[in-house]
Formats: sequence, C-alpha cells, structure tokens
Amino acid sequence: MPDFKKQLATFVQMLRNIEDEFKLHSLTPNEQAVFYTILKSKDICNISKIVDESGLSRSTVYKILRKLEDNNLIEAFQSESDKRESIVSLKV
Amino acid sequence: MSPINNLKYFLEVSITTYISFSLLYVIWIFFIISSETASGFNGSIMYVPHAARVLTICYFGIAAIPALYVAHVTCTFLIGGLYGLNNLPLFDLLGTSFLSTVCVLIALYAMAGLGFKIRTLPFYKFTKDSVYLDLRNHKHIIMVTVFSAAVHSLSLYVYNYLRAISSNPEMFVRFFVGDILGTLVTIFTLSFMLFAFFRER
Repeated sequence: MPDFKKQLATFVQMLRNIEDEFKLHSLTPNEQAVFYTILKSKDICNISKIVDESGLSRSTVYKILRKLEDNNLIEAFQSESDKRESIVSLKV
Repeated sequence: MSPINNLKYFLEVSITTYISFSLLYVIWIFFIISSETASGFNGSIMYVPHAARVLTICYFGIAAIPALYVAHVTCTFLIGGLYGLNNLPLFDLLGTSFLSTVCVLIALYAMAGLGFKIRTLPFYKFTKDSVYLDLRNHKHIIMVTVFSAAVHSLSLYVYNYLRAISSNPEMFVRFFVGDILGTLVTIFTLSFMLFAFFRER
C-alpha cells in the first residue's frame, strides 16, 4: 500500500527541482520582488516600472538586474523608440 | 496493510484529487470567461484542469481515477453548465468524461510499452532492465503530459466524430495544445508559489 504523505513529498520535491533548475532559491527577498515584477508585467517592462512597483531605489534595482542577468534569468535590451530606456524581459 | 488503512489512503487520495480538479476547473472558468470577453480567445487553448489529471494519476496511481471521474462529471455539469460550457446530453457527458479521465492512464501504459514505466501503476512486469519514470523530475512529468494530451485530444476527436457531435479537426489541435499549456502553467505556478510562500530562506 503506498504512503499518501510520501507521494505528496515526491510531488513537492518535483516542484523544488524546478526552482533549483531555474535558480530561483538563490534570490534574496529584494531580488524576488524585482523578478516577480518582471514576471507579472504583461506588457513591456522597463526599469522605471520596476522601481515604482517594487518600491526599491533605482540603484538597488540596477544592481539586482545585473545579478539576474548574470544568472541568466532575465535579459535587458535598449528600447527602439527611446534609446535611453532599457527594456527587461524574462529568459526562462 | 489493514482494510482500514486501505480505506484511509483511498479517501485521502479521493479528497485531494476531487478538490484539486475542482479548484483548477474553477480557476479555468474564471480564465475562460475573462479572456473570452476580452478578445474572443478560446479557453480550451489553456486547459489547466488537465494538470490535475496528470499529477494525481502519476503520483497516486489508479486510486485517483474514481474521484477524478466524479469531479469531471460534476464540475462540467454543475459549474460548466452555469456558464454554458456543457451542451452535451448526459450519455455523452459521461462518455467524454470517461475518456478524459482515462487518457493519462492509457498514455502511461502506452509509454510502458515503449519502455518507460511508472512505479505508481500496477500490472507491469517490472524487470531489472525497466526504465522508470522519475516522479521527482519535472521533465518526466512533462513527457507524460505530452503523451496524455495526444491521447486525450485524439480520443475525444474520434468520439465526437463517431457520435456526430463535431468533426472539426481544429478541436484536436486546440485540445492538444491546451492540455500541454494548461499543465505547464499549473506546474510552474505551483513551483513559484511554493518558492514564494513555503521555502525557508
């Protein structure tokens, strides 16, 4: 007879493996806030939007974006309409 | 193992299965209603309740099937009916629900025939050389999802064709893509939720 709790634990382990694969567990709460802001933005996500929605300072957001980019979780590129603006999107 | 423990396990699995399918069905109803009013988008292109079928049968085995079938019939009849999503006669509702419920099982046995076996299901001949699906590996679960989506969309298309309900091949593609997308969205959302709410930091 299989063990119900053991089966659920296997399922949770599978979900955790997804986190590990996408390196989500290595993020700090501030990094998570920035990551989720990008994740839930339906349209184009720029840095001003992340600053507004996450409540973090601009310099902190820049630092975090650089780390997320190094971790291969996001990519940043220049806006075609405004060369001064950076657009951020998820890579996963 | 005593009969009481057997019954306890069956009840635990049935309640979990019923609640998870119903919950995903309600979420899907919200999704289909809001998206259809927005752009005429058809909600079956992201059918999230398929995740409940795949996950419960993969992790709990055949013990999940009765609850899954009851959940499918009641959700389609009671909730789907309220939103005009159930126009089938009772016989066809029971028939399509049966096919939708057993599609994962058929897919798993088809995969076993190809050499990929899962330990939660009985009736295989387990040998030393058997290749087992690892339930902790999400890629294996995704492989089951793709197989079951193919079985599900094909069996429903054939049923609808034979019963002269519909012969539109677009339905086959929509169900196939919808089941895969819906399951992937559910699994990844659960993973994000687990990470956001439960993991120790």
